[in-house]
Amino acid sequence: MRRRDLLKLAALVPAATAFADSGSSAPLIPQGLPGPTTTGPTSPRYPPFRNPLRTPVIAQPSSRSDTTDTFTFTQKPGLVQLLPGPKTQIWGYDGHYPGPAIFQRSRRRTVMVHKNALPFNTVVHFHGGHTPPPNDGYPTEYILPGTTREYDYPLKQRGATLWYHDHTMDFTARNVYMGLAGFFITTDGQNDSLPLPKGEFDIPLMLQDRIFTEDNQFFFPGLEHDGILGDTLLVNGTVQPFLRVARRKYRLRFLNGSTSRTFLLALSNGQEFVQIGTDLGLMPSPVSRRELLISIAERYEVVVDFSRVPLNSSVILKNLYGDDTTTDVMRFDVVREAPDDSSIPARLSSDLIIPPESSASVTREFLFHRSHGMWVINDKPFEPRRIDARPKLGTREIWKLVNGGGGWVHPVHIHDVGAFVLDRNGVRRPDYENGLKDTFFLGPGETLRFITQTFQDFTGQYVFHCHNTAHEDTRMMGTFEVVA
Amino acid sequence: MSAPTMRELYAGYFPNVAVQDDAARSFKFYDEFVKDRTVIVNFIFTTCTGICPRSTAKLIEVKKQLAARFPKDISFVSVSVDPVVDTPETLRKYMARFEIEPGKGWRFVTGTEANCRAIRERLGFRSDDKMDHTGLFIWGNERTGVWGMIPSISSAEQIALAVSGAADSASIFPTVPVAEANPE
Repeated sequence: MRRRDLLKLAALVPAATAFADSGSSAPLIPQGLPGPTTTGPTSPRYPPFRNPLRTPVIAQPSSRSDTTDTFTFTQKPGLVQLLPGPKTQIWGYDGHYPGPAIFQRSRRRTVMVHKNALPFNTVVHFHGGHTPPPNDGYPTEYILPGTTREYDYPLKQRGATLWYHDHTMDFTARNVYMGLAGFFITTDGQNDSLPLPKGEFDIPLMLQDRIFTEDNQFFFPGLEHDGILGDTLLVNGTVQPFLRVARRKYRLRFLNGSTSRTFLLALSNGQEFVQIGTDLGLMPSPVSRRELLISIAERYEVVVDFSRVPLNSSVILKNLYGDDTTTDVMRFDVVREAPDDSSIPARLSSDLIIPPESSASVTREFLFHRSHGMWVINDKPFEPRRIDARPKLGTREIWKLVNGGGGWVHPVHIHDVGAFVLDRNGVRRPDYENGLKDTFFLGPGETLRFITQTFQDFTGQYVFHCHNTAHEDTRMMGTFEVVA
Repeated sequence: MSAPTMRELYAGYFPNVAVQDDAARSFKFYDEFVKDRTVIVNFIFTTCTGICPRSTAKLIEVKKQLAARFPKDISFVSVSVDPVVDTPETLRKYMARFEIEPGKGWRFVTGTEANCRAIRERLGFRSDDKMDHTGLFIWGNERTGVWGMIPSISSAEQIALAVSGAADSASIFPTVPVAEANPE
């Protein structure tokens, strides 16, 4: 990325205003707060890289049949050791933070049963899932306290790094912040057949930021409708961890699970990430990148070759958009040799065909902007069940997303259907967006067009929204209804 | 270990600064308008010809809906973003213009510039543009820790539902026994 753009993005923290010579007179990007600790305490600070990366608990099915795996979770409080001293109270699926990770075969029907043992309504959304509407997690289809709800997923979709998280109207930011999010990773024959790193060399990494009180409790500044930036970075619920790795290739699956923070990732030794996947799975071919922008709820899969790192040395995963406490994400310590029969094929997938624009039956335009402090889409706030678009089953659509300005960032998520970026400000999509996506970084001043896959299988109502969940909770969301 | 209470965790979050209401009585903001209450708060200035009158009109509608459908003790608070102009007397005139009866559960608040700024900044409004503060309602229940914000252009029904939900809410810090999760 060009330095000037970087500075504009980095200018979300006060320190960056020192770079007044960036030549930019455009509004700086207040993607969150003027500073991460303005409205809360300053988190207790410790040197980074003291904690081994936590591997998410792996969810085990509570029952299996010929056709279906069922996972049963209780949403409840839990205590987790995140910082030295008192444990942190979280709200978690089975009390875990992050939530138990589901690993599943594509096309294997999966049922999630959620009991709500928390004292408020919750909703579960399977992010990236293609599911019939009652199972998608519409923001007002609540699991009332003390009740149980079943979500039924056919999983007739390609292997990908997906996740499940809370989606309760008005409270998504708070509930996810407190811990209600977990990986849901699916794999398929295409993934299996490739010589990519597998097993212990395939690592999901959920990036988040939080503010802690002096007693190590999560502090959620709930009245920050512009965005919430934590001053402490966590990966898989581990504060600035380290991971001991072998001198070989690893597949890393990045998920940005933050409330409002966009990361620009880079490796401290200048090495490239070889990007192999986007939100909804493998790209047609790999793309090398030194810097990887990942906005909220996006997923990028990369291969990093640690054989290019000397034994007994380290590489830091940096956040180039960070300030002093949010620059170092985690550290990879290269501590051993290991055989490596993995490789990155030039052809990763063959099932993605970007449809021609002429095949779209409708073009819709959505303006994401701020009006008198309100976050609105086409000047409207979310009202449950008001239908803002009616795509027809069996058709594709082009959606034009327009950022209404002010320097704000809006990562726009569409439920149910995957889509391909066509262009940004009229310029053809970059190579690293040659993949199927469900969440689209809409940068300051940007107009982005995407073309959906065919709306298929299910009719009914789904939402689309800004995934800066502070914006989402103040109703920057709409409903579309797929109709026959 | 027991969970922190809302009070402990958010102690001092709401500024307890000196303010005056429309009857020119002096109070501390948090003690009088937030503590132990379910509230809906907005920001206005009386000379505003744009969105403030619409926001005020919407709150009138919300108050009617709440009275008819969810009769609960919910406080309405309108804080001036132009406190030098908006004296208690000016606020009373503004209320009269909208036929808002003083002393009936909806109070208008003014104070020094610094104190009014402290209140709105802590409630998430940092821009120097007065118009930027007027579009959102903040609602919540201080006892339970349930807080939210909703655009003033939402339907009165949605706004009433949200704030009455807060009135009915349980503490977001559960009293159920805390499980030991993720043992290390």
